[in-house]
Amino acid sequence: MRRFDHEDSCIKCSICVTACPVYRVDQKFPGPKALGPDWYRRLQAGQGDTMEHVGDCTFCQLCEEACPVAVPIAHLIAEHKRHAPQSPRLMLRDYLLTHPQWLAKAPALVKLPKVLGVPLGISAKTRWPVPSPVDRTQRLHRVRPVKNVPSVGIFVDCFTRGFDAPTLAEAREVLERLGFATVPLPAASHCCGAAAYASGLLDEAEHSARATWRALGRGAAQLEAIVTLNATCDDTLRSEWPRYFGLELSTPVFSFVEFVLKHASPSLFASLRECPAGEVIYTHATCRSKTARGEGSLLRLVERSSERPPRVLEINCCGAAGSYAFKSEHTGVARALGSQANQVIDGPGIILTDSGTCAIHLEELTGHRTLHPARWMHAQLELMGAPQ
Amino acid sequence: MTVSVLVVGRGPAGLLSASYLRQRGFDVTILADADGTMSMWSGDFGFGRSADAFESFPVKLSQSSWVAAFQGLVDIFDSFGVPLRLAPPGVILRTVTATGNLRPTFAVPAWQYASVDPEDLIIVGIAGLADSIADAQAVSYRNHVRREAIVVKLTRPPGWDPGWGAIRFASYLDTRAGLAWFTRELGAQLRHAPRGVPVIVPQILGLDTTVEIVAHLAGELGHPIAEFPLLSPSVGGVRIRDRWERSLRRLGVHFITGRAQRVSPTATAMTDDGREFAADYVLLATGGVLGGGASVTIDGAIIDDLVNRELGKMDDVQSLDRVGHPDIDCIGGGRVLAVGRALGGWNPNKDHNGGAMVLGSVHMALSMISED
Amino acid sequence: MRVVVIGAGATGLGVAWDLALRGVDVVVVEAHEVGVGTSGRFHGLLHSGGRYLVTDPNAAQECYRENVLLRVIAPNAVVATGGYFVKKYGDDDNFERRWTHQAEALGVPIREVPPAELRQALPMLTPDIERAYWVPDGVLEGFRMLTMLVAAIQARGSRLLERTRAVGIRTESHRVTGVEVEGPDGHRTLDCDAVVNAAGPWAGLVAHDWGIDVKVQPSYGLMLIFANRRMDQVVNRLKLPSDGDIFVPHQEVVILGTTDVAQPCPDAPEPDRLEAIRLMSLGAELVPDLGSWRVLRGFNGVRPLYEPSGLTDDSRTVSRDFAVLNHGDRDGLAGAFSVLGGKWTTFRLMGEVLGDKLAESLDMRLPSRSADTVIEAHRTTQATSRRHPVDRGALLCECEGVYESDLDNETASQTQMRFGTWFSMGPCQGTFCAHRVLGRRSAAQFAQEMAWLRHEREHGLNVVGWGSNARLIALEQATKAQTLAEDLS
Repeated sequence: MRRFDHEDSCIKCSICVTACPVYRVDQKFPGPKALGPDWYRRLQAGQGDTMEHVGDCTFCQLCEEACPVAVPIAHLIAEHKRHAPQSPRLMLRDYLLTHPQWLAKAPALVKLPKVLGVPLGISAKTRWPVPSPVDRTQRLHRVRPVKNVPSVGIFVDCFTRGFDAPTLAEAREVLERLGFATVPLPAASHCCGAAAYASGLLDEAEHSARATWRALGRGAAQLEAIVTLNATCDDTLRSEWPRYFGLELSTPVFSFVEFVLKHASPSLFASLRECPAGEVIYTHATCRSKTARGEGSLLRLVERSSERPPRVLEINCCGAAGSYAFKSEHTGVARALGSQANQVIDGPGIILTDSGTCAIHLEELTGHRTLHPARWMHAQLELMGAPQ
Repeated sequence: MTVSVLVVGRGPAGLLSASYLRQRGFDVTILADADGTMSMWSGDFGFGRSADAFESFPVKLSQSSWVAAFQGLVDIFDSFGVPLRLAPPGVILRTVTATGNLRPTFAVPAWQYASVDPEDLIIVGIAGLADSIADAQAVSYRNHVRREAIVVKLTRPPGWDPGWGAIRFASYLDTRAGLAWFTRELGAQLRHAPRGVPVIVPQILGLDTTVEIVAHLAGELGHPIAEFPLLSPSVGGVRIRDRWERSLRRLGVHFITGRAQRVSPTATAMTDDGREFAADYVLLATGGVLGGGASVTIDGAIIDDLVNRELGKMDDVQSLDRVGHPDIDCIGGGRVLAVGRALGGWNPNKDHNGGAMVLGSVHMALSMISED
Repeated sequence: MRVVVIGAGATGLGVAWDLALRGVDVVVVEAHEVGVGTSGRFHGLLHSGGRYLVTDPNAAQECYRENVLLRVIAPNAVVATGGYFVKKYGDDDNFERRWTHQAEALGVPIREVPPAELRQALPMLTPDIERAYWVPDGVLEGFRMLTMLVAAIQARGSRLLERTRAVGIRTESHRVTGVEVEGPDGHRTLDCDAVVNAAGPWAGLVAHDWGIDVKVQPSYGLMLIFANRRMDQVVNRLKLPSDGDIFVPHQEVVILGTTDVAQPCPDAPEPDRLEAIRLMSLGAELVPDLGSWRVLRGFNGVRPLYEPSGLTDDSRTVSRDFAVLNHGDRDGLAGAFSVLGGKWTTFRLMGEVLGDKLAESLDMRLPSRSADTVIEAHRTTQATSRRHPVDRGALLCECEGVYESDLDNETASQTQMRFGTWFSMGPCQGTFCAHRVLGRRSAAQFAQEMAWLRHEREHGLNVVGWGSNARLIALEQATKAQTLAEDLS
């Protein structure tokens, strides 16, 4: 049994239940309070029979964010998942899905699920990403920090590495435009551990995290900052690593959106706003970006960079949730969650979201093109033309 | 240059501040590390005593400001789809609690039962809903007002399991099947009930479609129908919270997640993860002990860590809910202001004026910001 | 052969059980409800005897014997958690020497534990521990044991009369022939051949009613309940028994005990905030991070210590041993007995000794059978978990998992129901479940029962109003006053 800060602080207000997106769409889901603090208290008393639907939690952590007394609800639920029995077939699947660093190394493997995945419990319905050409992703050049130019690392998460080369390339160009040299990190494919943690494979999560931390550690110390492209990885590096694995980074971590907001000059934003307004922008700050830093930053980035005010997709968790939507037993919930976006969307436009898996999920369910904010910023800058 | 205001906290006082400020064109950011108490609360604005309340109220507003505040409240709620019923001047509305007691209030969402004079009621009990104790509730109600309270009971809905709380019932009633079940069952139970007597039901009439459900039921059943609130998490509070926050986002209010650790007199907030938010004004809508704006140490000191100020001692307070800042003008000579129900030693539990306190303090803070 | 036992705590029920097994017709009269006195207000320690090795060897030996016995005859109410005695650097070496010596002399098994093993088992303990010993401490689930005893006694034809106060005795030529009681049915006399005063801290008052002087020394102790079971073994400080030196894991909670303050009256005083703070700082000597543990409430229990020589100011020095008085020999009142002092752990032995004396004085040949008769689990304690989930009805108390079907027994008092189900005793302290449970019990009594329970919960809550518990208190106050408007009723 793992111990957690504030594990016993629950005052039973049940606000977490009102914040839980799955509870709203899944009648069988017992909700975060029952699965988290209530269960953990019984576990401590030696009566920790696991509950049937614990695996249906997306680990979006909105419950935890809502909690007024800082109970680590989602992490207690992850502990609950760890105790829950799983059939060998699904254990194999979960093990594969929660090591995206392998998939990132050989992204073409995603073509296999159609044949092999279904018997393993991989959803036939959920859309898989398209692998990026190998040459652009696999060989991240060891870029040495450039003299007299501040250098930042870009944390290349598994999804970006395997499937989203354009986002990495364009994010680098945006940051270079802001006057930073960029270093993609880590050189080889590593997972921060988020995927395994969400599935309750806490030992695997820690193992992955430690390997990534070691891989980062060498180069990161000389950098000004590490910029992340995925909100889940961002939160994992920043809060889960120190809190649950004791892994500290000496370099500060920023999400791409926050970093740009912090370092782009007011005059750059002013010029961007003078460009002709493009398509309608719908923003979806992913659940983990809401819980860790708030959705305000993405909104503010778009407001500063475009005359046309953005629209907020009123969904808390889109249901993609890393590997969640790829598990066949979750397809229904994942689609119900993501489809809620269609209640807001009332015309053409593009969706901005800070996670690659969320992007393909939303794109499929809404039919709207869904991009990382870095790519939209890149396009805005192109529109604006050469730096002044 | 737009004036920026950082609101710390997203409970009723935080959201109300944000609404009013945004209306007036301020640049508003809400910084909060947790949900506020919105969903602990059904969304009616308590107001216990009328005459002497104004005398000792720590908020000094003119009669006309109060009227403007009331009307502004109705407009704001209306803007995000929650119709509010306001008590006529000089009159107090009374709403019925889950235990059959009566609670004074001045503004009530239209879906919630409230009346000026006590009347005969039909109380609906629902099997499988833990908070529904219609028999005991009816006895209390009869004892309080000497009016009749007829109990009718519905059986559990299909698909029910023991973990169903009010939120689950409400989600079910939002579905077509759920509403059909409820309409059919309640209709059957009311067949022999005296026509026209108001029917009160536990607060489970949907989360998203409540206004439509209430209208539908009233039309089908031939009785006025309204809800009585249950305990936290309150379905009524969730309805309002969701609609309110959505509308604030649409209006361009920025929601930032983070635990404020310190607020300086120069209106800058630092979070525990090292972020800094500078603004022209900071509104502390952090609640008292319940909201987390004050914490209690083992030896009994009640402290607001944000501004590093001791607000009281356990030995001196009878009710923890009354602990708050002594004054709206908190620190920084008018740049950091405290709003909310826990203010000035007023006891919202004793006097049932928490709602009025939220409204009044936010208005007072607004006038202080606007005057600059 | 009929015996009236006064008091339905551990002592009275232990006596009744032993007598019932001897074939005696027993009537237990209880002025309030089962276990509302000391028996429902203790930390739950099943003593290994370790605590009294130096100060009270006799009590220590009895405790150990009964500890071993209860594991066999009441497995459903005893948990063999094991416990540790830990000596911090600077604690008296001499005491440790005497303690280990006494353990060997008295046959209480102890085992020195390497520091690494202790840290593994109890990582929350201070690193300042010089030495630690394992002892066969355990946990005695008092509520469950009382419920089991009541059922076992009733199954053997004996009776329990609650809310029935013994107001006097009837005698014929210096021999007891009946006990006068006042209860729900009014005043009446229960004919009997003997009467046993097992009223715990009230035993002095009962004896006084008989015109007999018995020196009971009530002493109260404050205990703090922590919300979660954050340790799995009992922890004692290896030094002279003192305040705040024992942690007992009890079902879902941990209890820190205790203070020891002599008082003249038998009723438990309201807990005091400053005492709770002091207990916290004493507890932190063993668990440095104790301040971050969510505390739920404080409560006082009253020890019914027996001091033959009269009242004392220093109740720590009064023996934890028990005494059985035959008032026929002692005071010329034949057929009257008192059982005084003792521990929960020795409740059975007290019954046996009393039974022997009683049988001897009435010249009966009825040997005690309580040492080798298993006290069966009460049937309803496991009934719920066997039901189909939907048949359990709504979940009323989320903290302790109490469902509508657990309220089946309509005749049970509120206290019995709370002992049976633990509703209102978890992290919400009744804030969310009180109206759900009481509103289903009786519509007519609802308001009264609510007011009583709220008061009862609040006076234990309010003395520990810090940290997240302060937030709960504020939530409880707002729920009561605002959401339910109870203050306006």
